[in-house]
Amino acid sequence: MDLSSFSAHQLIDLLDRQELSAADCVGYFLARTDDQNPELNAFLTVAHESAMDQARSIDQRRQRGETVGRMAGLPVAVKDGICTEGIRTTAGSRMLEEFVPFYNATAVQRLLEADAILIGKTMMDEFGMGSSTENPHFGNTRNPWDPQRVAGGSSGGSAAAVAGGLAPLALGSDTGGSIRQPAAFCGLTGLKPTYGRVSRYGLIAYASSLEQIGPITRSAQDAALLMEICAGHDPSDSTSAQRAVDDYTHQLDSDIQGLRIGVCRDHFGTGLDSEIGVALQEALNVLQSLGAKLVDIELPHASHAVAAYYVIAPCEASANLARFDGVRYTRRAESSSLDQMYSRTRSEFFGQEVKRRILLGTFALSSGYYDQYYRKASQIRRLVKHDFDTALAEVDLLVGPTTPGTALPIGQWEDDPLSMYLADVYTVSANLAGIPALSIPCGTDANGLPIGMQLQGRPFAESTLLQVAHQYQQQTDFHTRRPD
Amino acid sequence: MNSEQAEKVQIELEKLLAFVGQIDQLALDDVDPFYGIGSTEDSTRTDEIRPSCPRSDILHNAPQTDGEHFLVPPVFGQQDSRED
Repeated sequence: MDLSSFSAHQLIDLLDRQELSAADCVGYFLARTDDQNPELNAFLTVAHESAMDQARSIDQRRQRGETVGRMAGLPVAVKDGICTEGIRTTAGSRMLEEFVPFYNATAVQRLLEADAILIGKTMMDEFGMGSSTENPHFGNTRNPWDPQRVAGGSSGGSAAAVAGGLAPLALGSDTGGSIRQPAAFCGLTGLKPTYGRVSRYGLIAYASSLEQIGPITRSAQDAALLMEICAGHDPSDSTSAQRAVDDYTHQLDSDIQGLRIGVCRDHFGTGLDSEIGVALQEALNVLQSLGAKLVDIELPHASHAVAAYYVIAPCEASANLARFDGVRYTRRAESSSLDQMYSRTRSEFFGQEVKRRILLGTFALSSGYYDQYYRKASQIRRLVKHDFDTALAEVDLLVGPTTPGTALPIGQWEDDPLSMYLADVYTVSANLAGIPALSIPCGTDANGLPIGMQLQGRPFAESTLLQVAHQYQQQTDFHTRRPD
Repeated sequence: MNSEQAEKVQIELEKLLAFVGQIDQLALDDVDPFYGIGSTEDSTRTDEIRPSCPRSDILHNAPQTDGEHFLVPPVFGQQDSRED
């Protein structure tokens, strides 16, 4: 049985009916990973032994008639910036190359409690700082749709694993588009939840006020499942919301008749690849045919969001990454004094992009420049949030592009960080405002590369985004297409 | 970083600062900054004693320990007496 194209729901059905054992299921995906990962470089660490042990244990429990969790036997891949007990967690950095956490991130713990099986840790840009998963320490992740192109980033390994059929679904994290952009580049569904919807406990911090853990899957239905398992308040993360988790799956089947969809026409103009514009217009036609009403809206400060983001995120990074100083986290450069240990360790074990952002953030927070950069960027953040508040008072969600173009050839952004930053133009605003945003496939370009459509909603209205995405996916087949 | 790397980074940072400098274009005097994390409420937890992380777990990933503490090079670059 070729399980590589099965959705998580299809696999769970087979596992529940005991037509497929957990050991066979996990064994299949591990074998496929062994075969294809040398080319795709989607996984940094594959947990062969622990995954098979866990699978056999679930099979035994099933045979004994014991109750098993909702995801029993289902393989899951997890981005390597998310802590996993006893399994190396590098965050894509040489600094953490040998770091083995002694606890699970809450999102991972909840997956394991649902009897999902962690098959491995996926590649990423170092500490999530990048949009292409071209990692200076661990190599480039390749896009299964075209191995000469990037899978996107920073959760590029998770996206490549799911698109390549090495895992049915995965966790990523999104600070400025790091779930949605690789999902768009790889023809997948990727959700950045509302800030506070999923616990960040155990997520190695890059920009704490912006980032969220979320699903990368083959369908909105699978994303709904993963959200139901992972979301919810966590006493270990005081920024997680004390709010009940919706029954996302139940709401998927509601029709979207009369739903008001906001369209920001500025996002369809200069800078957007024309093929993406055409695909989006066709997608809007589909949504309209399902009874949704399209309403033109404005986001007047969206054009300043990237600049504000690239002040705020590096500022937070410069503080968060101060902990990697040679004392606690495995790596220390040869040094004869404390000062030398700090500087040599950070010089030797951080990559270029990380150093760039730490320097930018440190400068922007320094005395005399704080007001000029960090405060002003935070003021623009307020305006970006206000734009969304105003628009989303009028409409139920916004629809637009996820990315200005499709997956780029490997190496295109090398030595050109500004071009890479500018490609985040449609995604960073949702992180600044803290609202949920989802990318789903809505077409392919002339090269056969997937195109992503972004849905953005009111805080904690993930159910609306998943519902619209699911209804769209009932009418279209872009989400079921696989790379050759 | 060495001087060659520093020169390259300086050029890159100048470009990036010129780009993010566009935030100066807006009149922001009357706008309150938004630092995020505003939508959730702090809560208190039950006042119960819970075990904290075992020391051995915390020290496990450290590059150098004596089994009870993190060890670091001397602050002033001299050899620590314990290492003599």
